[in-house]
Amino acid sequence: MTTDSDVVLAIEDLAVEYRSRGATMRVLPGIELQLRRGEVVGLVGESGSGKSTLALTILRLLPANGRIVGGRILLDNSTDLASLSDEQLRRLRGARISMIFQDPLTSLNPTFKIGGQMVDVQAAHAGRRVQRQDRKAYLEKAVSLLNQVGLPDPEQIVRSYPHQLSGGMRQRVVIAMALSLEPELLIADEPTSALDVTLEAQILALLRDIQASRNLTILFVTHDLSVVAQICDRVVVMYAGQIVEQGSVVDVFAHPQHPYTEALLKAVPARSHRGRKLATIPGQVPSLLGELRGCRFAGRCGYAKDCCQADDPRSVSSGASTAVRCHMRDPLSAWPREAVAPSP
Amino acid sequence: MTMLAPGGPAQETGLTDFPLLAPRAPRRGAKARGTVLTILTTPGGAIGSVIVVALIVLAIFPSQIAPYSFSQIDVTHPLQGPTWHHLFGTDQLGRDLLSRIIFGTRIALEVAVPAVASAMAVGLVLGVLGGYLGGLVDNVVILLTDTFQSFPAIVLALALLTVLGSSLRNLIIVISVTFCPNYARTSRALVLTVKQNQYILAERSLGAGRSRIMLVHVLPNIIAPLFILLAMDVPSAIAAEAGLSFLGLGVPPPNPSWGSILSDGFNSILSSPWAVIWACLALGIATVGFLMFGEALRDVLDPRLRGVSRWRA
Amino acid sequence: MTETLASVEATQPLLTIKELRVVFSSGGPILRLLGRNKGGVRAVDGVNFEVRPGEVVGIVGESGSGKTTLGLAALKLTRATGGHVLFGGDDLSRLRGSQIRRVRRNAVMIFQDPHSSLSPRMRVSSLLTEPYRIHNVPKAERYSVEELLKMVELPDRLANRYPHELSGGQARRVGIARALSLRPRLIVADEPTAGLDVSAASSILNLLQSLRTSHGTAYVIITHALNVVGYLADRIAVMYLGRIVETGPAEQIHDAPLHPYTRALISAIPDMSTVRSTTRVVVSGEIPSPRNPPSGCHLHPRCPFAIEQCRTVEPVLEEARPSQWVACHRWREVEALETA
Repeated sequence: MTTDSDVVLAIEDLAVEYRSRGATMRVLPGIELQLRRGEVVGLVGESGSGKSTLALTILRLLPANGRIVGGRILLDNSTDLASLSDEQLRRLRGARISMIFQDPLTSLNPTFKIGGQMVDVQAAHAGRRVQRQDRKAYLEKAVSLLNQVGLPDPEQIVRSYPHQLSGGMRQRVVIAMALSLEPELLIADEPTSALDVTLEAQILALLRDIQASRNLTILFVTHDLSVVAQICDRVVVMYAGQIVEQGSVVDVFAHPQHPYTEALLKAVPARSHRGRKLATIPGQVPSLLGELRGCRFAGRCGYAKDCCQADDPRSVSSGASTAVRCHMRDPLSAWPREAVAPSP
Repeated sequence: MTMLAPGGPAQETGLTDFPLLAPRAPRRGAKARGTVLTILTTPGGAIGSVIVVALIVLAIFPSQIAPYSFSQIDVTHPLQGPTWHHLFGTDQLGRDLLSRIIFGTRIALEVAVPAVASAMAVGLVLGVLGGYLGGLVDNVVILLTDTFQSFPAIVLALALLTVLGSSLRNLIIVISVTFCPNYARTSRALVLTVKQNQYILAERSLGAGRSRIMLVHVLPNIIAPLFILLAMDVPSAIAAEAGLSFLGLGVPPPNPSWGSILSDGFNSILSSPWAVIWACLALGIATVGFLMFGEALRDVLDPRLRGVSRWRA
Repeated sequence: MTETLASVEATQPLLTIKELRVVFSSGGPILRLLGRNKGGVRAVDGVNFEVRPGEVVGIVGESGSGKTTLGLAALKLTRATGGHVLFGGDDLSRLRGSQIRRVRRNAVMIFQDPHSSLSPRMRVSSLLTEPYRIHNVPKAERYSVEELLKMVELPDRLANRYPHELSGGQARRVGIARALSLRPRLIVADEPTAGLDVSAASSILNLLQSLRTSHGTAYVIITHALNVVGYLADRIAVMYLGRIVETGPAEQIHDAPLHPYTRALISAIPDMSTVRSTTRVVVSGEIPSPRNPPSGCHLHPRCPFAIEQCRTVEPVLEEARPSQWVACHRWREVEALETA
């Protein structure tokens, strides 16, 4: 059984709103999520699902018009990130939780050399005046990190500017920077979405190695199910701001419990579909402005019945998945059981 | 030439997860009413609009508003301070200062607006042709703008006015010439940016000719910033006209340009400072009014120019 | 009002590309005169292929492969430095003015970024009728705006919107509708599904497939996603650093790729059914800059099968199997090694 000390991050009933021009949008109504030490969790959803918002909220990196309006984000069962001050957050970012983003070019300052930027990250968390010998030590650590992320000739790289490196090298640099202070949790927001296929394979292999060697916990945000299949232990599926299914990747992909997950898995185009129409999900993600009643996926769900429009589904365990938010999988719901149920 | 596309540009993240709340580029086709109303909601915009409208009204209906004619001489009451008969006082020839200032508004706008407008028109044509066609045409445009811009405006204006003689029409021409290179340069720069956009390539791929692209696809997309520039240049043109009139090269007397009022006022400043005061105030208010209006216009039409950071780290 | 091209000479190629070269030189005219512009980027380095009427050809490659430049050069939207492009038998470089315009009616492009390829201050209805205005198409031959929107499965109410008021998927469909308005015989689509959600991407693919059946248009699909071409294309050409390294029927390329680079791409396609399988990363490193391509076979620094000959001699395309051409000195050995 997992003990509490295994849980690195526990998100409890987290609610986030965006405000703009008088309108308020409740982007995340109440998220429950736990990340255990050493696991790689894939946070999957299409645009509008709230996955990026969730990732940014953990480190309180929301834009000015976004606010946490409820819930807690517990780090190591002790610190509530939602209630920390700016200074406390600053000390935490990079040191205990790191984040890497999609575009490595804009993650790096174009006017400073790589070495300087990596030293700065360490120096900023030193907590005291930084001496020259400290900077020297930091630089050595930077070189060592660049080596660990598979970059040849790190001595040359620390003397280079970002624009002198290729896209793949930059993303490795960014990963190295994120690891500088040995964080417990790495949040990766679509880090390979802008990369070529072969490069993506390399970066994913790198992340797997790093994860194994440091027992690092990784929250991997992506829209690409195939990436999840390659690197993640657990998958969390989000739709319209809610978690609709969670479970181990093997189980969820083999036996998806939620209709959305099922539809998502079916919609990936493959060669085998040649000549036939590809499965798509009709309709659009519902707007999150205003009140939403009932299951948010009901409008697009092939299994929807009356109860789905009327009532919010509970989050239950079903099959091997936890947190399945669907009336059909909830034995206590009003979903008509006589109807033929889909594959278990 | 750009080589497009990395391996796979992926989804938008963050705020654009929810497109309804993403900062939206406003469209120029926004109904004029909407724009005007938005301008009026900001304090700067409201004040600026009021001033601009007031100036326009004064410029169009000076005879109806001014208590006296601008040239009505009354040598028996020269250089008086404000009285009930002459709210602003009189100048050295006994002319009512209030009326002269009001008529001066007409002159100021009569010169400034056509000057800046024609500068924009000519500069726009040059800039679009040079920017889009490139090559020799562009080199010629740059040569012209550089040449004219290398003269200090005042020197250029003086030289031209001396040659052409000073009249209202020539004033407009001369001031227009000094402003034109800036419009040419600005529109050229804008065209160069717009040219990089894919929709230009798309229209080319559909078979659109160069003139069509310049007229239909380039021009509408660069015109908004130029209007803003126009609004903000009007006060400079007013000041230019005032300056030239101050130097005696503007409209001939007895026409009451603010500059000539200022010039006359300086000569008698020890006896009565009122002419100087009113002329300076008029210039100042006109400048501030147009600037505030121009800034409000800029904020409404193109929030990107505002440079507000929306992200809190 | 739909045209099917079954009656058109089915064997005469619609588009023929011969030894096409596109070099972007960095120096100005003076440097060029002095012959000192070695820093040129050889974006397209001697490409040959053809497209037959109604055929779908997929051009696959990663960034830096030159595939987009190839697409642009094929439509004369960027200047070719060498070689020929023949459309319907006419050499594009010999055509002028109105003749080029006529070609543009028959060969159109759909661009990668849907929003930036739509003129921002024009409404959808204007954008869709713009091609008719450009070519002075008589009213009788035009599709109505409603018909065009219906063709791409968009509701009528979008006709009055501006591009920035459309979602990515909708903007992309407008681009497709605009391309279809002229009833072209060839459409070059640059990354038609880039940046779209899985479901939206599949919708677009469904749309392209059905349009292909109903209109008989030939497509050139430029993409890095092998599964997209796998679904749509009849033939695939794989590009690396400006050269075509392998070409053949889509099924064959997927089932039995010959070139080491093609193998790497195929093996990098994630397979959803086998979870947590370690993907074999067959080529190491990254694609080098096209500014300074390696000598001989461009892939040799990264290729596990490279020998001395690969470094010095550029391989040419040879027909390894019926209709499957590969440019590799060692394809036979590679095949033997890989299947062992």
